[in-house]
Amino acid sequence: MSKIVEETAKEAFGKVTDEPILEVKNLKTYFPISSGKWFNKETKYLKAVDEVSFYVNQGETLGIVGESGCGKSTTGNSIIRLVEPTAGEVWFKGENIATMKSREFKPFKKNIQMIFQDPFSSLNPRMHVFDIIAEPLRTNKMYQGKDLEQRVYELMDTVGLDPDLANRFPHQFSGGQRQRIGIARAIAVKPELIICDEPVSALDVSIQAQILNLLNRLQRDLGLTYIFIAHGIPAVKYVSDRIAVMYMGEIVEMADKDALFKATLHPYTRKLISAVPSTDPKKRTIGEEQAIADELNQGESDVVGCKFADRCPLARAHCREVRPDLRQLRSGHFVKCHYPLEQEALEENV
Amino acid sequence: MNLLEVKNLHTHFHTDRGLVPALNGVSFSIKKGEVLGIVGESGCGKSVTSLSILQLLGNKGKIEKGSIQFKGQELTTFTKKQMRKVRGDEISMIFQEPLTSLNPLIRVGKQIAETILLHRENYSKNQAKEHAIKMMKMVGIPQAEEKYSQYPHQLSGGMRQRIMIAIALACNPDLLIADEPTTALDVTIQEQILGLMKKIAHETGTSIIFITHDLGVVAEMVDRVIVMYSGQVVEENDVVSFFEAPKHPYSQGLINSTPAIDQGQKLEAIRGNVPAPANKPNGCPFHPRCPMASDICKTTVPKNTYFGKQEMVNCWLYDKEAKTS
Repeated sequence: MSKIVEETAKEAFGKVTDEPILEVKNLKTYFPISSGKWFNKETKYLKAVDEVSFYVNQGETLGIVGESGCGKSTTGNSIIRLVEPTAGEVWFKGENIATMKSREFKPFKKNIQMIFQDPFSSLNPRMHVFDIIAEPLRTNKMYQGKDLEQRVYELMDTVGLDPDLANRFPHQFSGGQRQRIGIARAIAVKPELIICDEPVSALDVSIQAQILNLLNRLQRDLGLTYIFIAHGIPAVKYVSDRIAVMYMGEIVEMADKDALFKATLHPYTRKLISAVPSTDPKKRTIGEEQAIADELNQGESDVVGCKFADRCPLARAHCREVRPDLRQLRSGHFVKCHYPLEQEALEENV
Repeated sequence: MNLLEVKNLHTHFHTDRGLVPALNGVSFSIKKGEVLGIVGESGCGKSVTSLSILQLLGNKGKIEKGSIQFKGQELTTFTKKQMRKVRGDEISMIFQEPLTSLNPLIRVGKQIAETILLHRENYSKNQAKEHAIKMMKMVGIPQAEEKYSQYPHQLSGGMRQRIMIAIALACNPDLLIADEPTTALDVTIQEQILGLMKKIAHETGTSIIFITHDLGVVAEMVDRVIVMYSGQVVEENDVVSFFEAPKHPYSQGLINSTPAIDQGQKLEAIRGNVPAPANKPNGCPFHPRCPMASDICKTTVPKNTYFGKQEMVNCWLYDKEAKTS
């Protein structure tokens, strides 16, 4: 990394250090799918996450974007082992948590918390808000009696909920307030890393902004690190320092936020960004020629070459034969493409 | 003449827990060939407006007051039988979730043909099938003949939405109501569906009411915008002026809280939540969330202020600046 880049990176990220808090190496999560024949011995696999590698630095937000079915949620779930990864390593604070026994994993689990998409189904409808937030504190035996009460009220206050409402049930709250309850529960045990899986997708825009701003404030105040998984590109751009783009179980591009948008290297990233409608009616980008159907081929693919080649406007014969590797073209800018969009960048680094 | 003119529409739901006034005096109109956007958050009455036009309110919802004029006819006086003729023929609708709106047990092509047979009595079954395949090709479905005999679950979300659009357009309607047609879709598929709808508006001259909470989609698609809040229209404007200089504090809030792909500004959230229709605050329904609210907003409902023919805002801030209606 050149000195100038290093300095600007530090300026931009404030408290962010170059120390990765989490490093994922060649993570694979495969799901067996039945082949339809009864005594067929050969099992086929759905490669939900296929050799994904990335790192997250202390104090930063890594956004993961992609379309439904690209494996972004499975990646998040595999990290905290809600889904057991098939292979690969997940290094968290110097330990490989992917292969640990579950008893060994427990103390680490406390340090990695999760915020889910749907605040309607991720909160127990029969529990008072107080107990929902207190549950992780009780499970981890962190607070008891008066201290516990104190801590729960404090947490509710931190996320902008009136502590007087502690004895209500989740259904008595609006979507945005429920998401705040979910956030209070996640930060209760003082985690270092929070995986936010589509935390605002189910919310109205005005409420989305409230939650995004709350997440930003908590990150600053509590020194949290986020993995922010979402399909809404503007929201990911708003909260993230670095962004990884996933396509069919693979990371196809990963870079600093600005680099990703201003010096896009992968054709899929460009397609994804250009598909987002601009909020300026004078800059309409969607034309009638875009009406042609072009679908993500789902599921078990035995594609030999680049998985995007079939949809890629720039694909050449080579792309269909050889799978590209994720390589670093500029400092911190990774791409998985034989013929990245900015050719000069390629020549510079050969 | 306007194709559709809605005046002072009040729709109420009589539920077990009491009366829910979902719409309180909604007025707007749409011209032939125009694309109108209705924006607002959930619970603002956007969908109830479209369901009122089609009279699909169920047995608890009722239009209490107001008029809906469509091609000079008063739809509120229509019988169920007359309405059934209008729906799917002259006015049709696309819903948000194509999987729940398609019948899972009927082949998709047949669902298109069904609509044609229902409204075009002179069509034979074969003609209807031919027409259905023609529609499928028009909405960009590859291998239409093959897809004709597939079931909804065999198609992807984008393809299903194309089928919905084919059904909606099968009888060449004058008005198409699209209720969040792309909300359930991925952005690259959304781009295709929006492109398709632009093509349709351009080729057939169908007027479209586009209901959405996504301001990006609004900026991309519509000619004119109406903003709804708590069962009322709070602002109406052409799309360019709306994004350049939104007047109502709620419109301003919506625009400022939408993260934009091409801007890096800080998001300003609107505090609080949309009030439930059953317990609306007094005065202007937006006042508890409004950063500009003054005393009069808390007690008295503002009047509509008009600026020219196209522009309207329902807010006390503008009351002195122009003539009130």
